[in-house]
Amino acid sequence: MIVPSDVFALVSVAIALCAVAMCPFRFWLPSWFKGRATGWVKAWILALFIALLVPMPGASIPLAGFFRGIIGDLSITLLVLSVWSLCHRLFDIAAISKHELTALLAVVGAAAVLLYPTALGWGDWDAYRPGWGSWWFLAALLTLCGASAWMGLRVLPALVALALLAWSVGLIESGNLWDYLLDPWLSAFALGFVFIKCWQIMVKRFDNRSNSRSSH
Amino acid sequence: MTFRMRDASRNFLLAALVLIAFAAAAFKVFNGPPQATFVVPAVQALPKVQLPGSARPSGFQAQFVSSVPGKAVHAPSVVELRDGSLRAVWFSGSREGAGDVTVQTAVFGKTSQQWGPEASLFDRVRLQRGLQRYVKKIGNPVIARAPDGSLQLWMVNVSLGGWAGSAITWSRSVDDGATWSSPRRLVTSPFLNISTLVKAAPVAMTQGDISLPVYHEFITKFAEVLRIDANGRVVDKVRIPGSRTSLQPVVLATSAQTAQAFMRATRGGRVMSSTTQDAGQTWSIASPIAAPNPNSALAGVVLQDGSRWLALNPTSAGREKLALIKLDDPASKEIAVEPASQNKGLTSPLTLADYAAVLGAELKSKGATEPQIAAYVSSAQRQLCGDANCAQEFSYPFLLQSRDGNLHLVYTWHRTRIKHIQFDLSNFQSPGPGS
Repeated sequence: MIVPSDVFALVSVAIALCAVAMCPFRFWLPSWFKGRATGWVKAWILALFIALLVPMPGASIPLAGFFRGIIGDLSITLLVLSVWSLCHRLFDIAAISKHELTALLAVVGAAAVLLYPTALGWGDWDAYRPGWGSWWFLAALLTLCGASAWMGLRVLPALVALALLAWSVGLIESGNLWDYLLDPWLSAFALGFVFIKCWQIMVKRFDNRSNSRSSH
Repeated sequence: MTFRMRDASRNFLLAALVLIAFAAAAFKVFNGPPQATFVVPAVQALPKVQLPGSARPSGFQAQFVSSVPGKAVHAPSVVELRDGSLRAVWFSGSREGAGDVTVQTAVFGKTSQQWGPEASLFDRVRLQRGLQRYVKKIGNPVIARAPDGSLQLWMVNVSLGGWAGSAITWSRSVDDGATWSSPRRLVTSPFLNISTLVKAAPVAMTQGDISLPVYHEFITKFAEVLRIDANGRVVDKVRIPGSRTSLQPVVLATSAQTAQAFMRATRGGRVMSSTTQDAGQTWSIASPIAAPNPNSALAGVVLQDGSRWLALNPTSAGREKLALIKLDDPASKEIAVEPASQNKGLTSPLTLADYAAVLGAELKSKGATEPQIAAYVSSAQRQLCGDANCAQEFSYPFLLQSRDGNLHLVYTWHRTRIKHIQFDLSNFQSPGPGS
């Protein structure tokens, strides 16, 4: 008997893998294809989604279960971003603005830098512990949402709210709020994104300085 | 104008979503589990059992628990059943970490005072089906009685990598182990939920909660204590500070608020210890005690009279001796459990021939046939012998006091059998565990 949290986790893994499977269509196919989803692409993604969830002949679990064993359960944040990404590429829904995405990934990256080292034993304090229910953790999230709204950001507070709602009803296997907010894969993507952004800013500044010196 | 109105309604919807979400989360935090305290001693959870006089062991009684020759077996634990019998669990397979490893069980009859045949409880495929995720291997089962009277079984399982990639899976039985629920995972780490392992017995808490000592091995090592609610969900986790070289904590609760944890030391050669004064909310910085530890697991128990006992390898290197020590009593002497009398005079390491002779003699004395002896010895030699020499191993002890007052010690015997020693403490005079 499969429990609801397992069904949700398997569907999440399947959606995320479908979103990843769309990447080649965006990056490696001819430019005329980019941003368009033909019927056969939609059919391919639907077939992949079903194939990931249908129990394999001779195996006790579906293919998504094998991936789940390796990559773990995904956060609500990554699930929503995956759904958004799929909808954008398949159905021309508006993409998340660069401004919103940068802010979101910067916050996720900063949270990951705090969470993972302490949870894996860097020092005696464990940032993961407040995730089982702490007033100050909720207060910190409320402050973050307030600051985001003040800066005109909508995606970040919406994702925090969805994660909180999911945690409140225990949608995934974990009872820890951190697992609803972020996961290692989203964190790795966010940290990579932040690193590249910082690198680009540094290169731009260096170029500007070089140009201003040569003009003198 | 239309754009502004759409923007305003979006902001309103977002604000409503955020408010509802925070209200729901605040409700959950407000209704979170209240502070729980230790229940001491846990053995009082079941009514007292008196054995018939003829069935009582006299002083010391040693038996083998596992009965399938040729397997690599390890990490036993034991629990008392409602009728006064014992149920042991351990893992068994072609080698530790192999895909064919299963969690085995056997029952020690109250009146027969004998171990019954072993049976398989969980294998990799059953775990995989129950967890709906890939499982590569399983290990370290720990069985205990929960405050609600059910039996709980926690076991380590790995999907990726070695033991450092472990998570803990649990199952519940309401019929003393005849049937078990579909397994569920404990989520204890944000990093792919890897590297939480279990070895020692839990401590019962009020409100039906359980304190389960666990440990972490990925990148660095440390000891932790999980608080698990009556539904089997993790509701808190506390790291034992300063335990970065410590593993496999054993928690001995001495009052509702106080407990002491004893840990295997990967460095330093001495048992590490930490104490709590607030029912496990916080722990003191871990520090070594006098008892030696050769980087090996230990076990502990608080008896009905309040005395505390540890079972450990009482040397700073090797697992060739196993002993019981009574804490808080400087006058008490260490009780040697292993090696048994057959190999007491031999110097370590043993030659292949001596090792085979020592194991064969003890196995024969316990009724093993020649083919069985050959299979057991071959399995032990495969795991513990080099080209010329063999290291004896008596490891992974687990202690339990049954309601009749007897103390039960189960442990890994040369990685090829699980051994059980029963002490009648009221009638126990001398160490003499020569079997």
